[in-house]
This record gives sequence, structure tokens and C-alpha cells, in this order.
Amino acid sequence: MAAMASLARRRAGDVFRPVAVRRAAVFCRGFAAAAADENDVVVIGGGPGGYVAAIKAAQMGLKTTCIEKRGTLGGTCLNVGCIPSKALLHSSHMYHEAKHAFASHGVKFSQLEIDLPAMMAQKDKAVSGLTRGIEGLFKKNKVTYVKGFGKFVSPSEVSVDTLEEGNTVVKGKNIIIATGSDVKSLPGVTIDEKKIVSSTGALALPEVPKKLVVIGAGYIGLEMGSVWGRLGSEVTVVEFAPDIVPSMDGEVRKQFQRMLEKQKMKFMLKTKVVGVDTSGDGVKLTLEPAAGGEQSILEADVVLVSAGRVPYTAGLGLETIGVQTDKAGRIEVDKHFMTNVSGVYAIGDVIPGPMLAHKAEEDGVACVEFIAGKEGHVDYDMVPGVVYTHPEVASVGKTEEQVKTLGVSYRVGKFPFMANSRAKAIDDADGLVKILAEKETDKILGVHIMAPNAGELIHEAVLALQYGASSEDIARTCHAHPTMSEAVKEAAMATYDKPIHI
Amino acid sequence: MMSLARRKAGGLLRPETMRLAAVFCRGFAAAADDNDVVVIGGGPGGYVAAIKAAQMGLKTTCIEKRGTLGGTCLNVGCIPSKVKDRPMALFPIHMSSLIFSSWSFLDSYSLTLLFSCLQALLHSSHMYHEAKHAFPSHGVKFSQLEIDLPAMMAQKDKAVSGLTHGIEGLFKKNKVNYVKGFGKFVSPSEVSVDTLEGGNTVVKGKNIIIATGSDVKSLPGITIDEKKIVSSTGALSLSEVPKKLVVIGAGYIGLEMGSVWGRLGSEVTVVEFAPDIVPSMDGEVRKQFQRMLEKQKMKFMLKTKVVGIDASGDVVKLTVEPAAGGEQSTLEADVVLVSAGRIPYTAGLGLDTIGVQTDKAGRIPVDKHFMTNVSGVYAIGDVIPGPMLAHKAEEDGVACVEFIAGKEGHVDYDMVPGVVYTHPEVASVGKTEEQVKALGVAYQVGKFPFMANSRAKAIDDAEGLVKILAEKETDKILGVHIMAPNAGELIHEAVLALQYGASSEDIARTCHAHPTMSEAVKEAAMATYDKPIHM
Repeated sequence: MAAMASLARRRAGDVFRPVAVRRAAVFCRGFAAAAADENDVVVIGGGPGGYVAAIKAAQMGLKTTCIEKRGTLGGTCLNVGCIPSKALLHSSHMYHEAKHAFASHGVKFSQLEIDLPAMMAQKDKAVSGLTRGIEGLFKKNKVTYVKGFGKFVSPSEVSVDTLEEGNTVVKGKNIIIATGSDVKSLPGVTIDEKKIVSSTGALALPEVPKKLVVIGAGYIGLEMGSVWGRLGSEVTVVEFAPDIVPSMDGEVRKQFQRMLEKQKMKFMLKTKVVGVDTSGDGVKLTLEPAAGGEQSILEADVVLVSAGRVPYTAGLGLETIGVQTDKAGRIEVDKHFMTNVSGVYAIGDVIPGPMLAHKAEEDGVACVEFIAGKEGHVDYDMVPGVVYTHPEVASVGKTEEQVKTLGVSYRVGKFPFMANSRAKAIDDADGLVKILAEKETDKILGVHIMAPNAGELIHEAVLALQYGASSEDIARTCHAHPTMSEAVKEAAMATYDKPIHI
Repeated sequence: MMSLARRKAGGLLRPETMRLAAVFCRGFAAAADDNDVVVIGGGPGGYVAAIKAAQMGLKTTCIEKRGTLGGTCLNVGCIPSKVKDRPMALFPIHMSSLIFSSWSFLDSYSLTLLFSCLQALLHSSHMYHEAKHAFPSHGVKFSQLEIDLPAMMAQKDKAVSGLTHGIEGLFKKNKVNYVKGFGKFVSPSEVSVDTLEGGNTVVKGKNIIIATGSDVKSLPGITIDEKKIVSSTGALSLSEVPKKLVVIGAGYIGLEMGSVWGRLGSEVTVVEFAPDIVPSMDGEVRKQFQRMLEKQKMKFMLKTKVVGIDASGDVVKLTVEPAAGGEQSTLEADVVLVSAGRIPYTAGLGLDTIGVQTDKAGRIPVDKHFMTNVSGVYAIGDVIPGPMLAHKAEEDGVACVEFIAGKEGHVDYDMVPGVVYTHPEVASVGKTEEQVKALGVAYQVGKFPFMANSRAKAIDDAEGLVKILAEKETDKILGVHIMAPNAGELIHEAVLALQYGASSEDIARTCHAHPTMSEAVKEAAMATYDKPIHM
């Protein structure tokens, strides 16, 4: 039964014990006898990293305050990111399915129409329900919620210009910076959120643009491009790099791009935007090959700028207290998420690592556990990534390119959904599972899935990586029939031996 | 880095494997017409065993009595209007048989196609249901929504025929010899096959695997005509949406078929003898599941038995009575689906000829290597004890062949997931709370509702929950139960966790992508060992 001790505890024990002991000493600046107005933990920012850290801290018995300037909790993700985009992705997929798949499934109708206000209302309903839910969680867990813009005045004091236009100073023995990230602006491109929009504006367009140009072929650009493409926009994606989604496995990326092209999305890769003219009715973009060359003009009704995100620390007063940032503007932290200033921590998009909501949440939990003198653990190599297009693309661990760079001998196992019975039965069989495993040991190094619900299927792989599983382990695990997950099993069989169904 | 399965197999099974290796020595240097492996039955267990055996270099023949790889769906005729266009030869028994269940001439291979048929219809009918009930609030408007049943059936046929051709292709690719006919043991190493072409051939094999699957359990006094009184086969090919559908038996298939026709407009009443629907389900999850189905207008008459059936009129009249006895009442239906379970199918196989024993339930007992009491004769899938599930049969098939080839195989029936493909789906692996209680183990329960899951909320499809049971002392996960739109996929993380003997904290500490439904699994795990964040 000793073997049953939790993996996390085991790991934390091995990796972090010495540091944890050191921390325990620091921690002794004392939780007992806090002055009535002093917090154990103050979190600046109420996004996924911040609000999760605040709830976790309160659950651990720490007196906690969370400062958020937006007026609603949930940050970019909930208010103007993941959640509203997923709502629109779902609704627009319904429309697209109705238009393209229903007839062949025996569902007939006439006069199919988009009711954009209703679609937006459904999105808003989802968002407001969830943000209010977090407010409820704050109350339930007794997290103090201060609405306003926080600014360090000392390593243990944050001055807050409240939304009610007052000012208050929030004190804390430990302060966590969870201010997230902001849209990366492009030189010469001014976002007006009408004709030139960020993802925020793209989530609330009043009508379906005839022509939509997306600058940047990352997760967000492709997701928003999919939404409007399904609703009828002609979508062109302009990308400076030679590839879409650079973090993706090359082979999967190629199939993914082909899929998007089949959905009528156009790509202009290795292309830069050198000029934007919004003086007319529409927008005129001047483009040029990334390597230089002849310019061309591209017209659009709406331009979405989604060229990445940058850490957001403006006005936070980092310089006042001497918190260091790197060249990319990120705050450097140690293994306990502590910055160079004792008692000041940072988590999520403001620190290095993947800019993903769930990574920020993990940071938040681990950071608070360290603050409370316990052990926490986040392994950035085991953070899954998901693109919520249709099909979705999800991955965890290394790409084939990364494995090659490491110089490890490896094996690849693949299985297409064309040979998966559930995918065939529902006639939604584009995509594949690809598994990379170390040749000598069969240990899984990376898993890449393109499938209608890849974002869910990937979690079996995440757990497998967490356990240092071999591909044979997955292959030997019973998978229910008929499910899409069987394709994961078959790809695992293909990795260590042979698949049955191909 | 050694594989879990190998480790397990090594630990548990080595002594017997060595014994097996000796048996196996009867030799693979085969005579030209002698197979290393003969598989009787081309269902999920049988065809997977055959392919695996061939992949391992064994000379393999698979005997399948249906003959066409069209299976239930295509050959029994999912689209009545199309039946006329097909050669009658394909439907001899169906067309003439009005007695007993069509399953008596169907086989386990057909069953896997039945699942595919069901999947296709569940999906298409869900589309219709979504269009009707959810689309307007998602901003998708239309008028005159209609069901085009022939098109729906055609889509199902297309899906199934693609899959069946696929398997035939896999046989060719892997060089599995495929004999079409009804097989019958004449000796422990010889199977006499009445071929579909009307001839007879004897297939010889050093090792013979029985994979004949299961058959619909018939109910006394109820004659299935596949028109008004149907088995699941007939329920997949109704020519119109029945106004009133009565389902006898509240198991997986009955509830799935009831869902299909309910979504398409039937009034569905499920009559069940037992006090509960799906007896294998965790009690708490079952209760929520039943409430969900009731919200979808499915009616339940539990603790009720059918004591008489009158199909002489336009509608079928069922006489029902409380299970414990009492006042009778009458229930009318346009179509009655009989789905009261399944029994092992071994009729006419000649088990008695070679002395293969069966138990009281008609199942063939096997040892850990899937060998029957007759040396060289094996059995897998629905004909042996264990859950009657396609994927369990596949696992049996692979492990059985590995043992035959002198290697090690491993199937742990405690780690076979089960899925009900309604909407939401219900999936589970490991023990129910009732089973844990019965074991007398101290345990903790962690639950998380999809109402608090952001992806489920974002897409407005948030009914259901994740429930995890873990041993109190060690935090080892004992069972996971999920009700969610795609529970059938979500469950696989839990299956792997059980396989590894994971603690709930292990899942809780594993990063889950946001926003996904899988986050609810993580939150339930947090609720098990500590506290959830989002609840």
C-alpha cells in the first residue's frame, strides 16, 4: 500500500523537499496574529490563475484578498477569451452542421438563418453565469474581493484605485501577481474594436463580415476565423512565419491546415502586413513577403489582430518594489513562483511558460501550496494544448521535431479516425492520433490528436505522460467500443507493435 | 520503463504460461491445410483474435456464418424500402422467420455492426433533437424541421457498410482465411462448416477459438416478428416513427433505442421487472440518469412484468402486472422492443460432441488462458463469463491469441469500462458505491457537477456529474462514474488511472486543459482527496 502514495507527493518529495524546508523558514514570518487588516495572501488579478490561487489559499485557511480591475472575475479567459469563443464555436458549429451535414443525416428543414443577436445572447449568458459563479465561490470560500486597479507601494502593500473611484491600501504578507497578458499590438495597426479588432472585438461583431482577415495563425486566430468562416465570412489568415501554430507537430499541422483549407479558410504564410488603411468603408491591408519583395493589397471588412500576447504588468509598480522582468517583459520566478523580491510571487501569463489558462491555474495552486508551507508541483512538459476548431487539435509532450532535436531514437505510431468506428458511425472521421515513444524503453514522449473532441481525448495521454507510461501500457488498457478513444489505443498498438484496425 | 501489462502478466500469470508453452508445443509447423488458429465467429472478439493471430505469424482461419460482411444492419435490411432491391438470397431466414428472435441466426459479428448502427442513429436523432430544442437559443433559425427517415437510415447504412468492408479488407491484408458458413465441432481440432454456397468443408486447426457471441434473451410468450414486436435489430430499421413504443427491459440497449425513437417523436414507455434501470450502474448516478431520461419524456414502469401480449389488432396490447403480483393493467403500443438481456450463443456448435462444458447460464468456463476444459479449444467474448461487451471480447481475443502463441496476455475485467450512449452518456469503470460498501472498505466520495464546468456551461449542455470513489486509507481510486455529453470518451482517463492503481490526488495533480469537460474529472478528484476549486 505504500506504493499507493500519490505520484504528486512522491515527486514533490523527491524534487522539492530541500527547497520546501527552506521555504518553511521564510513562511515563519508568521501566519499567526495577522493584524485585522493584514492578509496572508493578496492576489492581484482575478483571471484563471488569480481566482484559483485565491480560492485555494482561502481553502487552506489563509486570509485572502483578490484585486481585480475588470469588475467581473474570470479574466480574459472567461470574459473575452476561451469561454465566449467556445460558446460561439459551438453555436457556429451547429449552424455549419445544419447547413452541411443535417440533410445527409435525415434532418430536413427550410430557410436556415443565423440569428446573430440570439447567438451572442447565448454566449453572454454563458459568460455571465460563469463569472457570477466565481463571485459565488469567493463568497463561499471567504475570499475578500476588491474591485479596482492595484499598484505596489511596497512588497507587502498594494494601493488600489477602486472602481468606485476611491482608494484603499491592501496589505499582505504574501502577494501574488496574476495580472495575465494582453494582446500584442502590431506597429502601425491601431485596434479600434470595430474594423480592426482584437479577439475581444471579434467575439462581439454586430454582423457577419463578408471578408475577414486574421493577422496571426495561432490558436485564437484560427478559432475566431473558424467561427466567422462557418457563419459565412471569407476568411484569409496572414502569418509572418512559414507555418501555422508553430508549437504543433509538423505532420499534424500539415493535416490540420489542409482541413482548414477544406473549410475554405485561406492562408498567406511568410507574409507580413506593412500597412493598414481604414479610411474607406472597409480596410485595405498592404502585404509583403516576409523576406521582402513585391507588395500586394488585401481588402477586408474586418481585420482581427491575433499576433500573440504579451505579459501585462503596466502600471503595476514593479519598478517601485524592484521586481525584475526579462526582455520579453515576463517576471522571473523560482521554483516556488517567488520573484526576486521576497514575499512577492507571480503566476500564469506574466511568467515564462505556455500562456494557457490551465497552466495558470496549476501555477496558482502550487504557488499557494508553497506559501502555506506545503509542496506543490507543476510540470510544464505535461501541460496539454488544445485548438478548438473542428476537428480540434490537442497535444501533450514533445512534437516529432522536438524529439529529433533531442537526438533520441524514437518510434511513431499513428491511427486515422477514418478507421475508427465511432467516427465513421457519426460521419465525422477526419483526423488522427499520433504517438511518439522512446525506442529503447517505449516511454511515451508526446501525443498529438486531431479529432472532433481531441480536447477531451488528450487527457488520457496527459495522465499517461504523468506516469511515464509506455505505449504498450495504453495499448493494454481496455477502451470502450465504440468510442473515439479507441483510436488512442490503436495508435499505441501501432507504436509498440501493430494496430488491429488498419 | 517496462510495460504495466508485461509487469502484471509477469507477476500473475507466469507459472501457467510456462504450462501453456508446453501445450503450445504441439507444434506450429503445420500441414498445408492445417491452421494454427481457427476462430469460430467473426464478431469483435473473433475478428480481432483472427487478425491478431495472423499478425503474430500464425496461420489463421475465421469461420463466419453470416457470410456477407454486411452484418445485421445491411443484411437484415435496415431500410425496408430497399429490401426489395436486394437479392432475396441475402435474407432467407429473416424473410421467412416470424418465430423467435432474429438473433438466432445472427452472430456476434453482426452485433458490433448493431453498435455502429445504433451510434449512427443516436447521432442523427440527436441532431434532430438538438435542432428542435437547442438551435433557436444558439442563434440558428430555420423553419419546417422534418425527419427524413430513409435518409437517416441511408446514412447509417453508409457508415456500416464502410466499416464492414473495412474489416474484410483487414482480413485480406493480414492474410486471414475467411470461410463463410456455419461451423460445428467434429473433433477438438476439426470444424465442419456448412458453407453458404451449400457445400461442406472441414477446417482443421491446432487451436480453435469459440467466439460465437450471444443472442437476445427471449421472453416466454413473446414472439418477435421484427415488425410490431422487435428485437434491437428490428428497432434499428423501423419504417416509420412509432407513435407509441414500449421497451421491455431497461438495460443499455433498451434505453439507447428508446432514446433514438423518443427523440424522433415516439412516446416511449420502458417496462422493467427489476426495481432499477441498468442494474450495473452506481445507484446515485442511476437516479440522476433516470431523472434525466424522464425529463426527456421517457416513462418508466419499474417492478413490472409483462404477463401477456396481444399483437392481433392494429396495435399491440401488453398486459402488465406488478413484479410482486397484483392488479393487472393494459398498455398499448405500436411497436414493442424486447431487450431483456442476452444469453451466450452456442446452439448447434457441437460442444457436446467434443465435451466442452458449459455452466448453468450456458456460458463456457475457461481458465486464465481462455482454454476450455478441452485442450486446444478456447473461448472468448460473450460466450464466457464476464461483461458482455464488444471491447471486453476484443481484449479476450488478443490475450487468448497471445497465450496460444506462447506469449503473455492480460485482461482485467475489473477495468473494463461500460458506456450507455444516451444523451448525456453514462460511463463507468471500477466499482459502484454499493459494491464498495459491500466490500466493507472505508472510502471517500468526490463529486463534481457539470453545472460548474465551464465548457459544459459554454455550450449549454451541462447536465451530469463525475463521481469518484477512493479507498479512504490509501486514496486509491476504486471506481469512477461519469454522466456527461461525452462521458464515453472522458472515462478513458479513469480507466488508465485504475490500471495504474492511481490515487485521486494523482488525477487532481494532473494538468487538465481549460476549457474542457475533462476538468470535471480533475475537480471530482480534488473533491475526493481534498476540496474542489470550482464548487
